[in-house]
Amino acid sequence: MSLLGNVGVGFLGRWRYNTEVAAMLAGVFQLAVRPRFWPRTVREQLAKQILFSGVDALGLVSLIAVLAGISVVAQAQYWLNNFGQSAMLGPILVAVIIREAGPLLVSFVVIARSGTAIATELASMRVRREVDVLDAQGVDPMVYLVMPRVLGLAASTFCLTLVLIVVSLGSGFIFGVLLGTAPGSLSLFTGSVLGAIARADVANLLAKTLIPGLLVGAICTREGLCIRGSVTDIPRAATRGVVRSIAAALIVSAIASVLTYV
Amino acid sequence: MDDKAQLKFVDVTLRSETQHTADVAHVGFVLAPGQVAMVLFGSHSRYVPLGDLAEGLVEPQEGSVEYQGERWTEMATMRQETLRGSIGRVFEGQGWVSNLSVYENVVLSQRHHTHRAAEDIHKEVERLAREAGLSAIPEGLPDAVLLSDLKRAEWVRAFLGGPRLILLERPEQGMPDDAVSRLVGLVTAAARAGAAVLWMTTRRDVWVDKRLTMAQRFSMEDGTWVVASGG
Repeated sequence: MSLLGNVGVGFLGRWRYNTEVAAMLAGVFQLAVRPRFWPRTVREQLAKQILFSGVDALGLVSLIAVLAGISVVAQAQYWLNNFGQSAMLGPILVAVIIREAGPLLVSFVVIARSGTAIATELASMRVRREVDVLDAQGVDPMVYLVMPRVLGLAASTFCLTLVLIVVSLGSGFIFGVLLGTAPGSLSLFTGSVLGAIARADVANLLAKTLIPGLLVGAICTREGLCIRGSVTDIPRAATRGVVRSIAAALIVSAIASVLTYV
Repeated sequence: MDDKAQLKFVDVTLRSETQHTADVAHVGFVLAPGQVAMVLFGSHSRYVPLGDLAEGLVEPQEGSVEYQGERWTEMATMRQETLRGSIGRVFEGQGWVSNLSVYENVVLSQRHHTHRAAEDIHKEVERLAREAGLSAIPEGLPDAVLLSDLKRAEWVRAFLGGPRLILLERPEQGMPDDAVSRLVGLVTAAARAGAAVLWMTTRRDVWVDKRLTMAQRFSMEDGTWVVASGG
């Protein structure tokens, strides 16, 4: 096959894959807005997913937030004080923590903890024919397995990002106080940060948390459910899920950033 | 009888695409509510997909399968799912969702398809468990439970909620005779309540069990369907 042919085949494959993921998300939304697809079993699956991806990840996200707070917030305070630019603290922290680092760090945590778990779990269910057992009982895998996982990841990513932002700013301020570099009182610091948040930042935050959460959920469930049925395919499904999810999170982050500044 | 048929196979043929599954050729029978059909498989080296065909999970290459007067192939997906919720089944081989406890597995279909109160379902589970010879449904995940207890729990799941059709794929496999007697009791009671039962077995002594006098009897050897009695 010619070079151009190879490029075309690769492009078509990628296009087909993206179409599948988009169709999966469209299916999730179609199901999610109809109450009849929310029996108690599905609601429980959603709660379990939020518990695992959101609540259980609080410790790790808080640790990352504290470390980010110390390294980013405290340093920003220190250098801005040195250059007499304390007024820039709010805008810089909003740009670094709220717009960029926060959502991306949380996306990576969610992919590492939950994306791999979902892809592995569903691939294992596929190999053991457990998906067929659900089907035989009239339990639609799209409703019972896919929808709650996708929506649970999106909700968890959003909430964890809020936690990361609050904890990192708070820990950064406390560390700044300890180092003697804090730009005044807590209310001054809070006012500086809140004052720098624009409407576009809120939209940016929603886009960078909900969209990657949905995509990670769709990609990892798709990878898990689409394996052919061999045990050796399980780790491959997990790896593909992680790699494609990271790519999706980075692309969404870049696009959202560009749109925020335009 | 056809108008009241719970399950109807019309000259069903399915040629296997894998070496693990047996061919099915020209299978035809009708099961009305309250009827029991015993099917004897001559060999158990390959899976005979009668259960999957009966639930519309696989499509026959020839012939048709009707459930409650409707062809599976002509139903919308949601209708198929709703009707599958009215079918109880003991699966050949793996029949459990491994990340749910045995109890969660047992009640999954009832909790998914109905609005029955949890206490109501639990009472029925307890009653069926006693009839199956269990003091209670085993705790823990399916992988951590004794196979014989797991099999009895699978019986409970199959009979839970008054299913209209019960598919039993070698439900007696690995079970002692007294356990089989309990299963016969469960089948008899379910049939009396109006369920149609399709019991597939490789054990001739079970196939000819005299306690199931009302049963139709069929056998299948190398994919060939033979009506032994009552068909």
